[in-house]
Amino acid sequence: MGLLLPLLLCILATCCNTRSVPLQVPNFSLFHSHDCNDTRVLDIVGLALKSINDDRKEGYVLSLNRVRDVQEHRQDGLGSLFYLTLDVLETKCHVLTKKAWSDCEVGLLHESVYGKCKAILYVNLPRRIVYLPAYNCTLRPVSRREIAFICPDCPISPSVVDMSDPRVLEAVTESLAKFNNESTKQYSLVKVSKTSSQWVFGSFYFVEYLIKESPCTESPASSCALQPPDSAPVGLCKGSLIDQVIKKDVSVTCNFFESQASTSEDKNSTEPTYSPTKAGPRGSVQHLPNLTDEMPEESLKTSPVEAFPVQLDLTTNPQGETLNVSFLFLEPMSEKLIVLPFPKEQHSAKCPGPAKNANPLVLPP
Amino acid sequence: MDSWIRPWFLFSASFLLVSGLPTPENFVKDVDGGIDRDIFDINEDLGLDLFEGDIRLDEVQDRNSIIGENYRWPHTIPYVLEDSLEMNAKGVILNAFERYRLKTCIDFKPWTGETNYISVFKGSGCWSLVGNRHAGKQELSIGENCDRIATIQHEFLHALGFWHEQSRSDRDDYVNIIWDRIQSGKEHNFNTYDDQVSDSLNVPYDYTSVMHYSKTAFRNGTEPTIITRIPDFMDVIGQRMDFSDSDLLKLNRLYNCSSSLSFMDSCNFELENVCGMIQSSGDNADWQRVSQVPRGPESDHSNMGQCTGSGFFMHFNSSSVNVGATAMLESRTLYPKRGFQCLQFYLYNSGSENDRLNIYIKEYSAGKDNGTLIPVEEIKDIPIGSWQLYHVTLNMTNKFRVVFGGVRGAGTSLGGLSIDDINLSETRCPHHVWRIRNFTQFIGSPDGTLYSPPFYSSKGYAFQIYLNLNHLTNAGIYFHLISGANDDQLQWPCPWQQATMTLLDQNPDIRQRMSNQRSITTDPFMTTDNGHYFWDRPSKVGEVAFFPNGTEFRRGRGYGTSAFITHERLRSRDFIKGNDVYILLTVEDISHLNSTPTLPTSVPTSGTANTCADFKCENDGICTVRDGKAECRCPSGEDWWYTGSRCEKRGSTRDTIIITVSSTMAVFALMLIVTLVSVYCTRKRYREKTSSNTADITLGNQHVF
Repeated sequence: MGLLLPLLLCILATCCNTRSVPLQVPNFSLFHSHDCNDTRVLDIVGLALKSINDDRKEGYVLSLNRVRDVQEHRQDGLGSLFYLTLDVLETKCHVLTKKAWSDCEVGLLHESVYGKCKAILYVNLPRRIVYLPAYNCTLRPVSRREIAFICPDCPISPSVVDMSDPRVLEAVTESLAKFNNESTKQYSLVKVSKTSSQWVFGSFYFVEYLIKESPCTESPASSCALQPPDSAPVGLCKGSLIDQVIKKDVSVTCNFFESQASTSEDKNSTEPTYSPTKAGPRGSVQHLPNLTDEMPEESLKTSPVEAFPVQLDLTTNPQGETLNVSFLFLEPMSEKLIVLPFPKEQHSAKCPGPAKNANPLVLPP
Repeated sequence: MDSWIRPWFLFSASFLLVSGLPTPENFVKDVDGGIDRDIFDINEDLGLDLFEGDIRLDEVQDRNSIIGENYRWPHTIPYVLEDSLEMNAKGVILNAFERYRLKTCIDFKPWTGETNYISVFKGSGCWSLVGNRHAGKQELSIGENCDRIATIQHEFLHALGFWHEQSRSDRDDYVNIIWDRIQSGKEHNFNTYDDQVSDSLNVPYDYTSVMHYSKTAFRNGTEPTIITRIPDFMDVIGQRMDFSDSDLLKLNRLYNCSSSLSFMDSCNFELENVCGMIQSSGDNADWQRVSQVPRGPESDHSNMGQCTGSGFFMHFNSSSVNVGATAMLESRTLYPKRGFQCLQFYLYNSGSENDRLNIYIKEYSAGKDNGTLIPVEEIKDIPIGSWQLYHVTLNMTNKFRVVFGGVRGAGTSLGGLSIDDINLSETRCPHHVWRIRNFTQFIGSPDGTLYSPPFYSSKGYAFQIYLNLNHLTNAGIYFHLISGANDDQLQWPCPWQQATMTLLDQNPDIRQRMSNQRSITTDPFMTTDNGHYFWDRPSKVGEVAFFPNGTEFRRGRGYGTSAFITHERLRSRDFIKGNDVYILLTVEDISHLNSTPTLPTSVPTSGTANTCADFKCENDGICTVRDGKAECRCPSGEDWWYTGSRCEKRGSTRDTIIITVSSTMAVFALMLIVTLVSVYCTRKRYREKTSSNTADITLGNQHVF
């Protein structure tokens, strides 16, 4: 029995040896590629998505569908800059709910909004620092033509919220009026975040919109002109209007966000290691119309134009530029990162990783 | 987790002003304010129809490759009614399944673990994917305001593999799509699918299809988006009453249907073989197949004398026989599958007021070759001078014949009894029938506010139906609870009684009827504007009303729809026949469909049976409810047991012993091998060492010595 342990150790050692040898080092140095399905990579991607969602003030929480590419650029000191390219899916949670993306449910196929994000993430594990200097995303709704083919009655969303349709506006105002009618407090509209419609035996309109508390407790809207401009959205309402020509039906449900104070406190206590948020957004999410509307099917396959263009270059200098991140450190010290132009996607056996939803309708080409 | 606010007003429904004198304003509630979705059927034989059978259902590009069979469901489709569904929707879905069972070979069964099944839930709107996607759980949404039977039939037709009628490749030959009147971004809803992906099954284009859009679909203004090439069909398209004949033809062709689960027989006596009916021996007279009787009826009921040379019915001439004489007409032998049947037929009396019709069953149970004659119902007081509809409930499990026994009653008779348009199906008979005579005079008239006689539901609730015909274009229908004799013993507010109101299409053949049906359910939580429970006891919340005979009673608020059917569709098909209209009424308790067993007052009903109704435990496991979810308690013995969420896996001590023993053996063997190998290796190395050591030692020795 005493002989067993050394023997096992021996076997282990040989195994490790054979595996650890190659670790492909790209010719052009600097960047290290990673396996897109590696657990450490997935952890880093999760942190990046969390940072992206935390940074956003509007829209819906993005969740990971697939890791397309991960390039690591090791820095002096103990940190690394990760250049991430991700395929993402919109969830049902509004970003203001502050829910973690992994806790948010992705919508049904016909409601899907999908796209690509590029993000640069600084990770310094020994100092427990995670910082997202920049990100950009491009999203599109799922192809309407394909949905109409698979699900002829499914409600369809326009690419961009279009308030020019009077019935969409009617759905919002009437459903909010209905909510106010039943509520002790009065609320007013901040922004419409989602609309869709279908025709079954009449026109059905579905809307989602942010509301804020309205100072006027009495209902007439005219007396509510004076509003504090800074009042933040307090909840998200889902309303519907069913127009059957003879008569209209309205319904509404509203969900209030958990108070901001408690969540930020929460954040401080449980995740003190995350970077202090720097003023101003560090990226944007761009919404484009659905692909099949924009271009006919044939040109889709052959077109040289990228379907989901995402630009994320902090520099064009191939030698890189420095980025001062000293403010991330608690103790006074000077830390500068070298930022390079965003590397080209490397397609390999290990990337892109497996998709959670492999339906080609919600995967960028 | 989310604290969504769900006010009662989800049941929205604004109040309809009823201008009829007897109804105070705001006293009826409109569930949808609907629009007419009926068909004024022009000619069902024109039935142009399309069927899209072979479909490419894959999300990928190759449209031509996958056609057909893969996307079919088995003839019995497993389903789950999710908790999210509204109660009324659950009841209507089950009614829609009954229509499939009557008219097609498609049946539905609660899911018991089959690979693919349809999960019906309450999403945003009403929609379904096309065909069987082999996705395991395939979702079908019946959202708010979608709880209408034809809408549910429509969505299930999508699931069975059909696109919209106006998506077939040849639609431009039949309709014009006016593209610039379509809301921008909705053009894809008017796409066509060519014959590579969609098969119209050699059925002509069908303007009357339940799968056809109406002219108002996706319009951006007030002008129609679809213009039918034959103008007569402009108001026909978009019917949402029932399957059209061509819908059924396509479905039955796609699924190779040859019979249905619940249909048994239909006979209008147009053929001389009288559907295989026979005259009994041992009676006093025969039923005659005739087309006219001098004292009435002047014509049959099927055609109402509109077709010269046809229009037959069976007649028993009671004037030619003595009092007490009988004439028996027997159906051919019928084979039941479900154990319950509804017999319906029209009866005309031109004889004595005391003439009777006895309905018998001749049952052939095991060992009784001649059958046993069982009386089922005695129909007396048959009104003189008009065709009247009758329903008779049967509960047969053995093969049987239906026997119509005419009996000559006392009093003078110059004519006799006539029967026509017999239908027998394994369905539930309506609980009540409201016959409205001289109907056309009420349509659009100020007098068109009609209250039905009072009826009692099977639970004992008294109710009344209000039919409003004085609107310019639409007929409305509403259900009212009224004060009744049992009110002290009943539960209030009235919980979960589903009222199904059906305007009967009096087509002779039950399979071709496109009756217009709407259901409402009494939600005991629903409140009115003034804070009362909507379905509370009428003597408490109702208004005073009077029956025609002057009796005072209380009438609760009405709940229903102002858009039950358009006048135009009401005048179509056979809704009005012989100037008679029939409204069939069924009020049944559907609280067993409730998954949340809470009630506002008292009586905590046990949800156990209900939650478990759709949850089957295998291998004699017992279903219990924990935290609102069904769980299986699995049986076990001394040395065996069942496990798994449905007790589907069997375990036993013997298995465990085998597993334990074999794994122990395996570990032992492995360790043995390792030990042997290491012993071998060490010994080998030791030997080498010792041999070199020996040399060293020798040398050393030499030094020493």
